[in-house]
Amino acid sequence: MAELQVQVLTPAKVVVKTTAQLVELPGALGYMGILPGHTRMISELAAGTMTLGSGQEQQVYFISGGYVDVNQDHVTVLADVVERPLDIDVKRAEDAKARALSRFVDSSGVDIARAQAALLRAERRLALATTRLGA
Amino acid sequence: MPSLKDIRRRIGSVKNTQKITRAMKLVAAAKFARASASVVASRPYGEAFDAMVGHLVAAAGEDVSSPLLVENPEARALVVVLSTDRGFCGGLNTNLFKQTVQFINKKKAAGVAVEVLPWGRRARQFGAKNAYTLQGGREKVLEKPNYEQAKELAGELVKHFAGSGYDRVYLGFVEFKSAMSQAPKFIQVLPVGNLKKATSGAELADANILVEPGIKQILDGVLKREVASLVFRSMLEGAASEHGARMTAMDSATNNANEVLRRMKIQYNRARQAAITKELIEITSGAQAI
Repeated sequence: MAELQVQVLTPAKVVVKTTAQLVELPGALGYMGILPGHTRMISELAAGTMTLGSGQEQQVYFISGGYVDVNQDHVTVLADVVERPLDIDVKRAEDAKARALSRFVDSSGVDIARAQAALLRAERRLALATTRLGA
Repeated sequence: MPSLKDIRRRIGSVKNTQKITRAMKLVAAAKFARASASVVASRPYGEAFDAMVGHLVAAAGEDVSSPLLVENPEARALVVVLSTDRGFCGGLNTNLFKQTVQFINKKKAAGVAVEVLPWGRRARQFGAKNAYTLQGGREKVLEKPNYEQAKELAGELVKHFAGSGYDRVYLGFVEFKSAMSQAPKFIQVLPVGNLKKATSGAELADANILVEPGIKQILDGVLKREVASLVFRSMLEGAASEHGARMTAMDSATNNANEVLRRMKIQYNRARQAAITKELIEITSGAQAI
């Protein structure tokens, strides 16, 4: 059975290089699942949870946004930041969230789109960190 | 002939200098190991990103444009010079600046107005000394290269390109080849142009790419990130070159100090022997006089 060759890269390093049956990614238009035989695709990614594989061998990561390039069962994820749930700094994410929220209160001269992106990043980070702690 | 005391003092001072150069070499070696590992670790992303941008630009074809792809006739150019902050790294910066002068002169000969944006303290001094038109500048770029900073710097370049009327933005940095060899290199950062050629031909055939949310929406973002990726890679290369060059420079300084010490010890021993002989002559001639 065909498998996806998955590469997760950040500017600083190769995060993971593996094979998987399924890759779930936070696309800019919503979460999407990629299976072997996927059409040639390039998509923007939002901040969120990336899941490689399913069942026992499932690996979960937080990614801060970036792009994915799907080419003949080769999935290349190009993200700015990739973190494993255990590495997420909850305190920092909470601070970031508070900061982003405060920008909406006093919104003079603030880049709203940027603040929204920052808020989304912080919330998704926190969501992933807390589900992991709960499990 | 210098006295014994003078020579002894000079030997002490050379030994102290040698201690410093040896320590600097060790520090540079440790930093170099880290920096060169970062360069290697960053390559897959750079290559994959270049490939993706190539596919995207090819898929976009003629009907999509971005302000970052516009190729105007070259009348005004910005040359970014990425140098170290500190010296003690052999001819690293000197070579870079020499090449920069050549690069700029060539552009000027072609009728291009050139302005310089120095990144790094040495580049600033260089720019001021040569009376180039400077565009601000900053220091400590190579100290701790990180992607966040690269993004910020890339944003600056994009602003210069899109807003300040430059037709080309070049980046000069020192490419890292090995600990022993580094070579200055100039790349065109903006407009993002070199990618189109790389993907013509066979690649164009499978230009049927599904792009989400849409090529028009993401092209600008992708190109901005491509610039950031270029800047980031140049920073890593520059940092690795700096530490590599400092390591070799300090190593040869330590060896040179050994050579100087050897010669001074011979001189010291000669002076000592001369003093002993002189004393003996005095004693024997004194004894004869009695």
